[in-house]
Amino acid sequence: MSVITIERKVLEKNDAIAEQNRDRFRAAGLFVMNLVSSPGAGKTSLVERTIEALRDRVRIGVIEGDVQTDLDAQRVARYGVPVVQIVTNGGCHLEARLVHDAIERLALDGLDLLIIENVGNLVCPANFDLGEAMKVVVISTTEGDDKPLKYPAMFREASVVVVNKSDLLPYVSCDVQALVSNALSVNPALRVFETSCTTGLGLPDWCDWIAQEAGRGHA
Amino acid sequence: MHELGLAHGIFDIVRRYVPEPQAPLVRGVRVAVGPRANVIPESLEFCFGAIVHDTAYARAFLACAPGTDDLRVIDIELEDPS
Repeated sequence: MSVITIERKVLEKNDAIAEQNRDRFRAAGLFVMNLVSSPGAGKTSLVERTIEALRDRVRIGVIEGDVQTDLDAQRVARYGVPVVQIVTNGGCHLEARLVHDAIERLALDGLDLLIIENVGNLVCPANFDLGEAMKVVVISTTEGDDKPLKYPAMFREASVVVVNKSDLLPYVSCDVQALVSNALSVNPALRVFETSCTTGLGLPDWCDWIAQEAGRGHA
Repeated sequence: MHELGLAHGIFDIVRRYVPEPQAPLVRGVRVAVGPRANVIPESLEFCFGAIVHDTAYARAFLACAPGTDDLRVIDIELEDPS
């Protein structure tokens, strides 16, 4: 028997393409966020409200990732921003090469902000770098306050957490303070926003922060 | 399925290091599964077996060992040519 020593990351191919994407985003001075959550946390609603609030001052493009259908791209297209739908056909997360192909269909130089809405899944997308500046994890109050402890990888990899659907707090058993404390125990550097896409609570702070990031150039 | 994609990634690395003419010599492929890998080792081993089945690498089996970080291919064990 003989042994060939390898010592290589399995995801090195993905990471190399992610770096290519990142170089392209930097060259275009583009702020790119990778929006991740479990299904139904309100990512698409947050994207819609963000576009509504920012489209007059920030040039926004969107990449939608879903297992099937272009329903989310149809929703976003109503706001008059460029949008590309990626259908993974069963794949549980977006990979860098899918984003690499999708950005061929977007005029990056004409954008300030690219929102990549990942497939709804609180596990696998944590491992896949797409070339984004940061991951933003959206968690809704209906999911319960223990999720950051149950799915720590996503909260560890993210830079921002958005606690969404705060309008439903009177009807669900969720302690936002405990949720935030759990998230910070996993990743103390997380920036936290609390929002409701129904009442608009917290959206001005969220949008101001994005506008500030998008205005920084990210070159 | 997360593990299936990762098993394909492992197979790509194996093929890069051991070209097809030597494929029947491949036995063990050892991977380190760290806490950041987010995989179930048994699923990964099953998926790898399904991928190499009906290929020249069909005699290869995946063996997972605890790692310290993410998912890495450690080494490939080759049978000596007879």
